[in-house]
Amino acid sequence: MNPESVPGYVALRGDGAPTGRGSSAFTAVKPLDFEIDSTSAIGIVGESGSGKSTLARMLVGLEPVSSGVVTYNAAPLPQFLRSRTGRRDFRAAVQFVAQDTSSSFDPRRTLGDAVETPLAILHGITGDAAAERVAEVLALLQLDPGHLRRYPSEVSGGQRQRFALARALVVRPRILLCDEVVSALDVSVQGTVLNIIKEYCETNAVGLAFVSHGLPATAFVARELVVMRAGEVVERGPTRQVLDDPQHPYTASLLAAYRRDRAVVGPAERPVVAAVGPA
Amino acid sequence: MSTDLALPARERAAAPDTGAVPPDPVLLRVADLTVTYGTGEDAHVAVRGASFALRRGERVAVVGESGSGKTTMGLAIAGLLTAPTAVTSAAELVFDGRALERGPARTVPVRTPGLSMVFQDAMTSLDPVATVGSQFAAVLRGAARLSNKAARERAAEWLVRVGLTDTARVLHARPYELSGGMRQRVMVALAMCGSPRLLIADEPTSALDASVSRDVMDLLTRMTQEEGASLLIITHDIELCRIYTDRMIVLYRGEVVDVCATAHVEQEATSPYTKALLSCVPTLEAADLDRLPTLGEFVPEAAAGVAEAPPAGTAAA
Ligand SMILES: Nc1ncnc2c1ncn2[C@@H]1O[C@H](COP(=O)(O)OP(=O)(O)O)[C@@H](O)[C@H]1O
Ligand SMILES: [Mg+2]
Repeated sequence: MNPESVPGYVALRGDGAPTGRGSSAFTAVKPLDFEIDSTSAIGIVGESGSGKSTLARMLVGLEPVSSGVVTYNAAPLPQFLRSRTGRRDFRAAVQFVAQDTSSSFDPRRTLGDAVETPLAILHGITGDAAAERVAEVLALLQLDPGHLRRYPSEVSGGQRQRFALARALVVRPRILLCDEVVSALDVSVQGTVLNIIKEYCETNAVGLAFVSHGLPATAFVARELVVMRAGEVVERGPTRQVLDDPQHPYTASLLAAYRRDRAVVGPAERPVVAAVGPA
Repeated sequence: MSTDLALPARERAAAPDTGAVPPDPVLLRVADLTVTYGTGEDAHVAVRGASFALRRGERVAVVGESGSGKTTMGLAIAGLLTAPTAVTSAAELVFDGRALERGPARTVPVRTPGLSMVFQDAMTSLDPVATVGSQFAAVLRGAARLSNKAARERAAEWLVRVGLTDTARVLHARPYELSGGMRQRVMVALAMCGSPRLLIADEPTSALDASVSRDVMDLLTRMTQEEGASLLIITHDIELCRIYTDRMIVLYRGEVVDVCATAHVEQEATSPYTKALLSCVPTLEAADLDRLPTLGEFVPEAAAGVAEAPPAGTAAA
């Protein structure tokens, strides 16, 4: 199957309250309306627990939607995911990358194995062709091909996060969903990875949904910002407009908190520590 | 580089007037600390000639990229590195008035009274199979020679102090039965209950999401302040360091390239590396940029082979 021919269009229409699990459970009852196609560059921001990650996970079928429906190319996603070919088509078109955790990779398989497998399963590409595509993606993400022989525990967290991106991009998805993918990276590597994501998505017409608590990073990659609070979208609009002229008080408070944090240089405002003698 | 140790006015004013000889304002003095992993051809100097001092009650960040030697420096000070894997040497290593024994001949980790260390992953700091209560008992009975019952009561008090009010449940729980945020709190309480003078926290929030990490940083700040302990916080997160620390030590490839007051880092930083690093911290202006600034000549990837290699013993065959 030619990956270029895969249309990509994911939409979530909720007419009630989509529910997550546990602490991320949505309490809001407002409808949620959300769509991404290959022209999107959407940044989803909000505090922890606001439902950003839950929303991203719902869009890729990893989280149940209690009311409302997620569609893929206008067909309900669950129905799509029921068949093997449906799952395969969806995964070839829509890739999800989460924050690096110990469970991001199978600890018993090499990174090379992890990056090549989706190519074989989703596109039937193996052997030299697979090696070529893997090398391309590794070069893009500035990863050392020598690390393909390593196990996930044998590279740094920053490298593992980039391998997770490589594993997603290797199949040439039409839509890329990123959940806190730069949060654990060094500031220098963060810039590099954000530059790569932005440029790759723009030049290859890949739709991007970027979930992050980092406002600057999100503002950089996104043309449109979606602000979430307690499971609802409180505001959305062109990035600059939302930053300069927030319409919802919650957005304004997020921006104020961000500015306050940056204005505080050193803990001068925190209580003074008394010098204490040896115990 | 500034290693000036003059006390800020507010600390001088706060020094207790006991009539006795005031304690040395410096809690930890490190001079020319060097740590080498491996031997012979495989020898790799992870920390090279690091010198700095930490005052009582001060919060200091060690910042630097992955592989710059932050963790190694913390482990060496804490006494957790041993030969032959790692060889430590220092011209001076004085903690709370006593010289720390960290010579190259040491082959077993030592516990240093008054010093605790916590790690990024609470699971590394905690015993995965022991209940929280028994882990407290182990520390408290050792440090304060408390009976079982007294230790349990003391542990419950500590849990409340870190915001875990359901003490009965938490004390009976094993670490994996708690949420990530709760584990982190337990870890902080356990590290503080022995009343350390210095807490070394290695990336304590890197595995947590943003608002939880603020909570944990607030907690670390509060607990160390209440106990009058110093905090050496190892982090790659410059934003976090700006909000929570008095001074920052910048490590680049194992070398201390700057020691600055956090509030004046822009003016005080002398190393081009620190300046480049600061210029990489994105702001909302990023919304209008096509490319974010990166480290340029300090390309992290150029050093990747050396700097981001995994710990020895885990390398692929
Ligand atoms: N146990 C070890 N054996 C050999 N080399 C190590 C070990 N642990 C760390 N290193 C190396 O020492 C350097 C510093 O690592 P580390 O202290 O972990 O840096 P940081 O905490 O700043 O990421 C790196 O090059 C790393 O690969
Ligand atoms: Mg480290």
